Order: sequence, then C-alpha cells, then structure tokens
Amino acid sequence: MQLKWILIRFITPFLVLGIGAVSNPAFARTQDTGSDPVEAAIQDQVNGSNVYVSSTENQINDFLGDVQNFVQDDVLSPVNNLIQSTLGAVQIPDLSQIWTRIMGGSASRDPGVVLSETLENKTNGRSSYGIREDLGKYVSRATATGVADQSTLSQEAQTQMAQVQQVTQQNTQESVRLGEESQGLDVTQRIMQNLSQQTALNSQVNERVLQEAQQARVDRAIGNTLSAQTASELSAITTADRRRTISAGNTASQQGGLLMMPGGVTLGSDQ
Amino acid sequence: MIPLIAQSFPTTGGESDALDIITSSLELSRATVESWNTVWLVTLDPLASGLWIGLIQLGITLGAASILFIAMTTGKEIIEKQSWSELASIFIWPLVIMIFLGANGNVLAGTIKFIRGFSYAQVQNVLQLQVGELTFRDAISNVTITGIAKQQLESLYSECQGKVGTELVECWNSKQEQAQAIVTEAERQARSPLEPLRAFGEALWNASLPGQISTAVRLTTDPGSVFRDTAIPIIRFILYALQWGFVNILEAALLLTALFAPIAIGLSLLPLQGRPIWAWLTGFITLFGIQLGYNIVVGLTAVVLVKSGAELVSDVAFLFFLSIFAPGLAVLVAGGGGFALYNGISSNVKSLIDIFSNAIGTVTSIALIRRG
Repeated sequence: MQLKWILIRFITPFLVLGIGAVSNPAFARTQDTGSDPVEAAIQDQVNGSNVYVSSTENQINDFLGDVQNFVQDDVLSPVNNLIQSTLGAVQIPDLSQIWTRIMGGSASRDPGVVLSETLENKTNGRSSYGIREDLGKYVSRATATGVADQSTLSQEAQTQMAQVQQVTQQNTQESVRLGEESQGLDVTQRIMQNLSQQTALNSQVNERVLQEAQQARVDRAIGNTLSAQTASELSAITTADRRRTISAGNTASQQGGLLMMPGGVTLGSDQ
Repeated sequence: MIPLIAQSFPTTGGESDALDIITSSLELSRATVESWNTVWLVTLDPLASGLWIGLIQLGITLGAASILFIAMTTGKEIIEKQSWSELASIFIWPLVIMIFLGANGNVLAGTIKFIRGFSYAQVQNVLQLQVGELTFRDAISNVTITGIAKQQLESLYSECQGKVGTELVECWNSKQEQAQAIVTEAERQARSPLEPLRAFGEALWNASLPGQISTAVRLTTDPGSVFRDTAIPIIRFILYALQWGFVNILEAALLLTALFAPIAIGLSLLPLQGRPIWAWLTGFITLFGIQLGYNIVVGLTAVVLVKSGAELVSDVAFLFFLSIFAPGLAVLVAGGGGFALYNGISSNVKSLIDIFSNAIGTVTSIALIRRG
C-alpha cells in the first residue's frame, strides 16, 4: 500500500509535466531547439504569398488603370465614348463590338471621320463604308498598341514586372534556403531530404519559367506593336489609294465639266 | 441587342459633293465664256482701254511713217507723170487708215466686234444643227456628261474594289442610292434621258441581286468595268485639259489677232507684195474657220455616237477625238482654206483697187478737162 502511494506521488509530476508538454508543444520544442525553422518558413511563406498576392492585385489594378487611362487619353472623344461603353468585365474594350458599332455609323461625328469625309467628298455626315472601315481598324490598332504599351512596355509596367520578378526571386531564394536547411536538419527519413531538395530545385525552375513568361510577354507586346505598325502602314496605303482614286476622278470630272465648245457653248442646261 | 453587321450599315455617305463639283464646273465654264466676252468688250473699248489706245497710236505712227515713205517715193513719180489717177489712188489707203484709226480706232473696234459677233453666231448656230431629232450641242452634251457620270460612278464604287465576300456585297449595296443620284443628276444636266448610262447604272446597283450574274457580262452593262485603273481618270483629265486649252487658245488667238489690227492697218500703206490688212483679215477669219470646222466635226461624231448608243463605251475614245484629232483636222483644213483665201484676196483686191483708182483718176481727169 505504501509502495503504491509512493508510485502515484512519483508519477504525478511526470503526468503534469506531460500534459503541460502536450498542451504546449511549441514551448517544449523551443526548449528543445531554441527555434522552429519550418514554422518560420511557413510563416515567411505565408507572408511572402501575401506579398505576392497583394503585389499581383496591385499590378492588375494598375494595369486596368493604365488601360483606362489609355482609353481616356489616347483616342478622340466620340470614339472614346464608344470604347468606354464597350469595356468588358476586366475593363478591356470589346473590339468586335466597337467594330460593329463603328461600321453601324456610331462614330460618324469623330473629327477624323469628318475630315476624311471632307477629303473624299462625302460631307453629308454619313461616312462611307471605306471611311468607317478605316476608323474601325484604326481603333483596333490603337487599342492593341495601347494595351501592349501600357500593360507591358511602359516604364510603369516594366517597374511592376521588375517588382514581381523581385518578389518571386525572394520567394525562390527563401524556398531554396528552406530546402537546404531541411537537408541539414536531423531528419531520419532520407526521402524528406530529397523532397526538400526537389522543392528547392522546383522553385528555381519556377523562377526561370516566370522569367521566360515575362520575356515572352515583352516579346508579344513588341510583336503586337510591330504588327499594329504594319497594319497601320498597309491601311495607310489602302486609304491613300482610295483618296487618290477619288481625287483623280473628281479632277477628271471637274475638268470635264469645264468643257466648252468654240463659240462660247458650254455643257448642260442653261441656268 | 446589337444587330448583325450586315443589317446595321446605313447607306453610304455619297458623292453629293462630287455632283456639286460637276455643277460648279459647268457654272465655271459659263463664267469663263462670259469672262471672254467681257475681256473682248473691255480690251476693244476705244475710250477706256489703255491697251487699245496705245496700239491705235502705234498704228497711227506707223501709218504716218508710211505716208512719208509713200510721199518720198511715189509722189515724185506722180508729179513727173502728171497722172491724176495715181494721185487719187495714193489717197485711198490714207483715207482708209484715217477712218479706221481715227477717234481712237472707234470704227476699227466696231468692225472687229461686228466680225466677231457675226462669226460667233455662225459658229454657235452650227451646234444647233439638227441631225434627226438631235442637235450637235445635245449630242456633245450627252456624250460628255455620260463620260463624266461614268467617271463619278467609277470613283463611287472604287472603294469596293479590294473587298470580297460579305464585305463586297455590303459595300456594293451601300452605293446604290448615290449611284442613282449620279445618273439622275447627269440626265438633268443633259436635259435628256441617257439610256446607256442608266442601263449601266442599273446593272451596277442590281449586280448584287440574285440571278443577275447571267446578264452581267455584256459590253455596255458590264458592272466589272466600273473598276478601272487610276490611270483612266488621269488620261481623261489630260484629254479634257487639252480640249480646254485648245478652245481657250483659239479665243486668245482671236483676241490677239484683233489687237494687232491697228498695226496691220497702219502698215497697209506700204507697197508690199500683199497688204498686211488682208493677211490680218485672213488670219482672223481663218481662226473662226477653225472654230467652225471643229464644231462641225465634233458635233457630227457626237451625233454618230449617240445614234449608235456608243457614248458610254467610247467615252475615252471620244475624248481622244475631241482633244487631239478634231483640233488637228480643223486646223489643217481651215489653215489650208485660209491660205487659199489670203492668196485670192491679195491678188484680186490689188486689181480691184487698181481698177477703182484708175476709175477715180479718169473721172478726175475728165472733170479737169471739162473745166479747162
């Protein structure tokens, strides 16, 4: 009986200590190692993800803001209104809708259209098929160029891209560091070491993929800009050709109307 | 809901302004004619025209010098010969000069204006000649206005030249209203129906309707012929400009010749092979001959074209004729005629004047003998 009592008294502190240790394992581990690199890494990772997420969100907002600015500043007002009214859910203009509306005559009061009408003798406010088509193509090109420029090629866009790259780089470095650290920890399973190493390598690969993606985006934007320039040149040839044809025809008609026969006889009815 | 593209396009903005260009050109042409008339009146004004008065004074100076020359040469012979007839004959030209150049050339200016008015009336009347129910003028108007309207249709449809598929149909259909307006306006200006042009126009604006393909390819109503090269309007422009230049240089030549009349009369005293005044008159009349011949040739050809319904097909060919061949022909024919006319006048008038002066001399001699 006395032995049983001694045993209980001896075990109780252990139980208390054990329960305490179970209820506060971090304390116990802290006491064991002094720090917890995994938790720190998770925390860092979460913080990093937050940084990344907030950065991406800002970037998207900035990008959309840029597109809106481009829409507001870069195109003349009747067309601007048209573009504003066709902005989609992610604030990108709906090109096909713009095209349809312009071809339907919605931008016939655009100053460029009015000037074209004057140049091509169509001054009754209903621009011709060719003029409307020209404007539609022009707006498509301007939108493509504007989006490419504001989202990728401008200084602000490049700064944002650099920021994203930097954050990603930090994440990668941290991941690599964690991977290396995991390898150095006292873990018995070798597979865990391999996994950590693989994760670190994966992060590095991911960074390279991101870099490639960014480079591809830059290339695409530059390609879009060049394509728009090519389209602009081709369109200029078409427009110039049309105006030249109309002008030559009008000149011929005008000179024809000036026809007079000897004796002071002119064409047409006497008015 | 956004309507389909094909249904939503309004008709094209049209060439109403281009039609105005033709109307303005016609008005400008009339203004040019009126300006020529005004220039004639102003230039040949004996009271106010400095140019005319200056030329008259030059003519009088030349005439006075010529009288001195005659007095020095012929006067001595007359005194030696005691020939009254020759004495009378040398007074004829000074009298003529005095009458024509006196009072700032009033009589000369009036005579020139009369000749011009008479000849102009003849040149204009030629264009009123009727072949069947068609006058020369109407035929020329029909052919030329048809050509101009076709040019306008070409300009109108040229936008659709590079389109295919639905775009082509939409572009083509959008031109119908303006094409109809062009044809209507052309008929209004020509004051008569222009059948080939209307047929061509209908072929154009009906070309996109189903079932029109079989009737499309005909010589006069081939809608595809509306797509012509940019060089065609330029060729047309050059030919029209040539015609304009020819007619206006004829007017300018007439005016210039008229302005040389005082000098020709002033020099007519000199005993040259032919009197300059006859050369002048021949040149003046020959210029009207060119105008007359040109109007006849062009009028006849235009009538032929309208009668055969070929005014649409032969628009550029007619322009070549109007601007190059007809002027060449008229100048050659009238030039030859003028040369013959000059020879005839200068040889016959000399003998006429000799007879006339001999008669005056004889009458003077008889009168003196009777008195003596």
